[in-house]
Amino acid sequence: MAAIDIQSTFQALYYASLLSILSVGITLSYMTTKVFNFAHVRFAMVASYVAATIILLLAKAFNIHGDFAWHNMAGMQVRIPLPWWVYAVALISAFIVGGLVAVIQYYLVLRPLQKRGAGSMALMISTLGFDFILIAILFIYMTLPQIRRLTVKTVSLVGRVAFDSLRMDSLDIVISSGSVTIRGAVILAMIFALATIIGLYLLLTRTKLGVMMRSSIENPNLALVLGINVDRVFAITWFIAGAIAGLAGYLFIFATVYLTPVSPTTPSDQIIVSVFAGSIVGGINSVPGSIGGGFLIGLIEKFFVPLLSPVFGPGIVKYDKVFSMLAVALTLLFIPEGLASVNWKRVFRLGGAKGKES
Amino acid sequence: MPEPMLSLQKVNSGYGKFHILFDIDLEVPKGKITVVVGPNGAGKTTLLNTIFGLATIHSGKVIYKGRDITHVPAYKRAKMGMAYTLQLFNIFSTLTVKENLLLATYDIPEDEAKKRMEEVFQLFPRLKERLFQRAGTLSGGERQMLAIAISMLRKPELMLLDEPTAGLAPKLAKEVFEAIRHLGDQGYTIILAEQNAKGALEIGDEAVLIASGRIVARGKAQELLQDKDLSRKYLGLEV
Amino acid sequence: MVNAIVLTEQILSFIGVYTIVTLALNIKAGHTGIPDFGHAMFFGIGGIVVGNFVAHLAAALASHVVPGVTVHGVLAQNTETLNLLNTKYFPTHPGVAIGLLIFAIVVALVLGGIVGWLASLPALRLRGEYLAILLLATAEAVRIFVTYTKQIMGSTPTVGLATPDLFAWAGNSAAAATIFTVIMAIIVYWVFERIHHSPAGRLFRAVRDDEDAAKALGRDVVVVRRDAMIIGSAVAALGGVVYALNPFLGGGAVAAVSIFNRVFWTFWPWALMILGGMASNRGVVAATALVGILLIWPIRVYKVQLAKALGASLLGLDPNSFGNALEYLLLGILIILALALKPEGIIPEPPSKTLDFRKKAEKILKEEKIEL
Ligand SMILES: Nc1ncnc2c1ncn2[C@@H]1O[C@H](COP(=O)(O)OP(=O)(O)OP(=O)(O)O)[C@@H](O)[C@H]1O
Ligand SMILES: [Mg+2]
Repeated sequence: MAAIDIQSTFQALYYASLLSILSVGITLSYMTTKVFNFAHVRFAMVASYVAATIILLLAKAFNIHGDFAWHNMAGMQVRIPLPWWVYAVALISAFIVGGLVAVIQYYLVLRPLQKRGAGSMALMISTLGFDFILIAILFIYMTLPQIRRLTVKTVSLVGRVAFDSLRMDSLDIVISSGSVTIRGAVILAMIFALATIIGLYLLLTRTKLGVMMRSSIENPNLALVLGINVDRVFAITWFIAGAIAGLAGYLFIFATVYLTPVSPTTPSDQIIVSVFAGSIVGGINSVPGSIGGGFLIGLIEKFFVPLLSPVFGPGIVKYDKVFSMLAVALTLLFIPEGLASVNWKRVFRLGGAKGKES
Repeated sequence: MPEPMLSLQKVNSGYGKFHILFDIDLEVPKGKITVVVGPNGAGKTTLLNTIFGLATIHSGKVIYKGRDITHVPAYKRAKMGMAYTLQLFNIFSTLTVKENLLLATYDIPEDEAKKRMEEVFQLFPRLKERLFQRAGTLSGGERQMLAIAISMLRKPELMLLDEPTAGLAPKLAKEVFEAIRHLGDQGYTIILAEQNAKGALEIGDEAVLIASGRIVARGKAQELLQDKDLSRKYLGLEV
Repeated sequence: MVNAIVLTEQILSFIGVYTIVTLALNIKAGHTGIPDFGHAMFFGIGGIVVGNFVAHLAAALASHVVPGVTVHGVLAQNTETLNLLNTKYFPTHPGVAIGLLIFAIVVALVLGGIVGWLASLPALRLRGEYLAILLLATAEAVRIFVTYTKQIMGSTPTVGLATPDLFAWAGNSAAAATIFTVIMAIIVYWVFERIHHSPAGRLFRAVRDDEDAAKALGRDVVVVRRDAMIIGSAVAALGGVVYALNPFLGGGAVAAVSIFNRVFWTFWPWALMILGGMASNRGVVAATALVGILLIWPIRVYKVQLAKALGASLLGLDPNSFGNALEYLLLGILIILALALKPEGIIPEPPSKTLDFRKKAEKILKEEKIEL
């Protein structure tokens, strides 16, 4: 019995890509504002709600067999491909909405608190407060009648309250060939991750804005002295971080069964600690580090841990996050600046030297 | 008397709640080098920060070219013709020398920027040889040159320099002072804060002496240099 | 309409358990400056003690008395076994129930203390946000481990384990549980007030305010932080016991998703502590009472009416979602407003002698530097 097949490999790649584009956002916002942003993954949630509604409303407005979402209530999955531009409009909205929410947090919460001299712990807690407000907005948004007509009722795990949640996975495109079926979301995630890497690389090294970003991060006072509006450069950085999270939110629509504002199983709450893990293991102050770190954590959880199941039994996969949390603990204790801060050349040279000696 | 380039009127400033400078009145004449001296922690850097908008102004006014700029944010002052070479962290050490220089000219048309670059290389030819080196790996002297070059590239009407000779060997320090005097002769208005009081006062025109956040003496640089009492008490100079 | 007595019981239970959990956080974060973002893991221990340990012990004691009850059944036939215990055993054995209650409290305090001590080990090396993230990650690892380990949480982690009703012998067991909750909260408050005004309390705050100064006076900062972690974590576990035994809180069951929930048992206590005032025990109680009353009375009970009154139903808003939204909105806005307008909290930390201590230490530091 193979522990891992093509399909689950792709699933792992999806997850790793998702984590890496979210981790890089945590790092971008940390580098500018020096705050671990607990609301970051909720940006993705907000974006995914907006994109989901846009898809549903457009489908309805143009009468593209408008009632596919309802079928789900009866448990049926009717897959009707929508015209490409519906997906495109939704994608752009997710990108922009994610970025805007981040900018709102930057200008309305973090900057004012920083100006009042709030310390790093206070800022971190304020991000929790902002997260709560976003959750509240999502709850209210979900309950608007126009939106509610698009939703399915479920009961939360805690059994306490009934949530209204969007059920969207039937929108995903499925590519099958023989016995292997690959979800469109999986391919899309990898494309997004690649686009993020290339986009950020070009932005940071080849554009004036990128150099301004790097300089404002390294030395805000000197940047100010050169006439750079550091506040605005940081706000733009936040926009980019949030917009990338918006891409992740777009993926949620297709990859998860239910979208709910908050619950232990809702995507954002389930993965936020893994996202932090990626950012920290890779390097909280390194853009490439955090991308790699997110990918690594994703692979640890969904690829390497399943590989252990022949030894420890299939139950081990449920403990996947224990391994990534272990990685966080070890990183923080021994290389707090993450894998990106390690002088790999030296490590290898030392290893080589030792090898020769023995 | 001609209108001063910059004047401070009864300025009280500091950082947030901290009150560092008290009742500062200061006039900086156009085209002259004004030297600010004083012991460690006197408030020289804070004075420059106040002028550039990097400190909190509690009361009083800062007037620049006849305009009240007390509440203008720092990055806008840079666009109004001020430049400032910081005392610490005065270059972007993770960027290359070239990127540093480009940042200084990012808001200036390209051919103009090129022209200015050539002027700077004439003064500091060493920088030209190290364009693609990461600025963090420059020697102490080269760093200071780069820092001053960054300010010069902006062709400022008012140039603030905070301890440009700190940590330099006497010979290098002399070179730097000469470069500053040269800039002064070209008509730059300069405010120079220095620990190395002797070297600074020798090339300066006007001078103020700060101690414990207050201006305790002012006058011509040469006069201050001659004043035995003040020199011994505040500057540790033996005349 | 809602029964006024039940409403009062609900509110008191909420205030009681959050007072305990938030005061426990306060000794670590408010008094000593350890940013514990893994608080929920200690709380969860208390839930396990009740749902698992106490249930097993009770089943062992009852297996000869009540037919159908077996130790094995606690996990294998959880609902049935606990049902038998709660209806056939505890009502007629008040002595055993009270004994088990004391057992639960003691074991939770000890286990919470031990885990707190373990968690304090990395606290010696890290500081600030990094430590916060480390503790968050640790708590997350513990949560996942507990969730999927059948021996701890049973085989249906989302449902969890039914809890023994150790107040079944009382006429009104819910009222008894509420009274127990309130009494525990009062005791915890009293103990923390005593600590606050003791030399140990001053030492805690000295370490928070100025580690170097505390060191200069020859205080072992590491030991002080460790002690705060042990005390705070032990009391948090006690909070878990209170939660699990109170039908208004636990609802007769403990599940990993609820007792290790970082939103409810880490983030909410943080919010309440910030709101009340770091290191201010009175502030914590005031904030908890304020939020508890607002949350349970208008929001949870009257959300339908409230939705109407606010015009929400005109928009067609669903009262349930609206109620959920209001809970998060209330907390989110309170956190941010408190940080912006009253960073010292609604009842700031009472002045103490910490300042003198610090000055003294600063003086010593200065002298040392001069000598150097
Ligand atoms: N960000 C700050 N917050 C609070 N106090 C500050 C801050 N920066 C400087 N100070 C204090 O302000 C006082 C004046 O500092 P300043 O840097 O202006 O001195 P200086 O004259 O430039 O000294 P030096 O010659 O050592 O550079 C010092 O006591 C310093 O500790
Ligand atoms: Mg200085």
